[in-house]
Amino acid sequence: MKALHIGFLPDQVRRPSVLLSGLCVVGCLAIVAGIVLGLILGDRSRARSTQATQLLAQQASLSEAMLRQEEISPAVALSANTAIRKLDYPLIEILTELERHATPEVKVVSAELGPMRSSLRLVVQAASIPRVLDYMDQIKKERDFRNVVLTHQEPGNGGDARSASRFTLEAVQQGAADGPAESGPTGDGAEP
Amino acid sequence: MLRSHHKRISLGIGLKDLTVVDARNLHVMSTLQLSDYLSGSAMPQAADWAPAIQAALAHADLPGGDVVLTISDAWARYFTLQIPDGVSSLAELHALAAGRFETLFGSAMTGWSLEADWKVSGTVLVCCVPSRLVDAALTLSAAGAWRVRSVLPYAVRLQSLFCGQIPDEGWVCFYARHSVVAMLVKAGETAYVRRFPVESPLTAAGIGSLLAAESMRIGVESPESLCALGILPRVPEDGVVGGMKLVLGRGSKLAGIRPAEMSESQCMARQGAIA
Repeated sequence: MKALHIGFLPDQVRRPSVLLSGLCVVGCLAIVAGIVLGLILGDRSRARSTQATQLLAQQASLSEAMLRQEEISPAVALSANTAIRKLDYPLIEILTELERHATPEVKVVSAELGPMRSSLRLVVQAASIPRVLDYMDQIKKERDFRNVVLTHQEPGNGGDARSASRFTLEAVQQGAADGPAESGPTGDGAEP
Repeated sequence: MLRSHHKRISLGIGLKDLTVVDARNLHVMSTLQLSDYLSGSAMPQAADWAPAIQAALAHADLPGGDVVLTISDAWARYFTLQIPDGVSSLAELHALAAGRFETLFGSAMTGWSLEADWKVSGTVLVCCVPSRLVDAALTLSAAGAWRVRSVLPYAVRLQSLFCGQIPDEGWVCFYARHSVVAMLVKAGETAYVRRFPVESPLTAAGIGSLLAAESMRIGVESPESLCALGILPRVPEDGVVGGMKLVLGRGSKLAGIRPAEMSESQCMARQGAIA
């Protein structure tokens, strides 16, 4: 049965129970704790919001910088493409073109890029210089070999005039050079 | 007087005597015959209670302290009041209770102090004690030596002591030497109350018959349990009274209560000391 709250003295009636008093105290403490926690969480929320805004700003600036980086100047693009072409030079294709003009008297021994990779060096084997000169006339029809020159002759083994000699031809590669084309070197093997 | 030396006593005012008990050790400090100090007891609302109270305290031979005052139900009036809809103030409730008092007891509330366990709706228990008795307690506190901590009739004192043991459904009877207050409890609340003056202690059969008749009169079925508190008569061993299961108060709050050896005021004073 519930307790009766009856009393005949002014300060006797409706004394709150210990439990009710305790609940009131706990409730007040909970309210205070809630207010304090709310203030703390509010501060943290504002800090996080500020941090998020800063991060978003950084992200935006980085994105903008990345977009600017994608805008490459024509000079830089040409230089990069030139370098790419040097690294990816179609020697096989050139060799195939050269062999098309080869004859039984002139055989292409090797083809390689020069030290600066702006000239092509051919080594052909032929019995005599006239055969090489005829070969040179033929390959000058190709775009990349219009200024081919004879730069070196290596006699064949045995020292006999009829044994095949190796001749070095050099041609400046227009597609691989950046700027004015280099002139071919002069020396032994020039046209008689 | 230092608070640590403050004496706490309990004063029990029975129908025929009053007793002062030391609240700490439950020793009887003084017992006086009420008729020697109270004149006009046939009309308690008009009697002067101050001399009797002062005499009991003087015989206790104490300089002062705290007093808990318990009054026999013979000096109190009990009834229930159904709160109507639309009541908007405590003054209205007091006026309704005063009207109900006059209807039940045939006289105005003049000379009575009324208190109730007020609620906004439903049924409330209303309790009345003589105003001059309450005034005597307030005057005693105002004098400075004594501080009256509470003034309650015996049935309300017992209810506050044992409310946790009283079933939420059933009759609860507050026994005294010269009266029995029967309270019908429903859903933990007071539904009905009536005080029965008795010349001699009621037997178990007697209270069973009385409660059965009362249940029939107010139109309720006899409940399953009967809780008996206070100065009890001999109770049946099988724990059944009038077809109702008997529930008795238990625990340390009954310590020192020996109805067969003690007067009504001594039992009241001891239980007031425990409260």
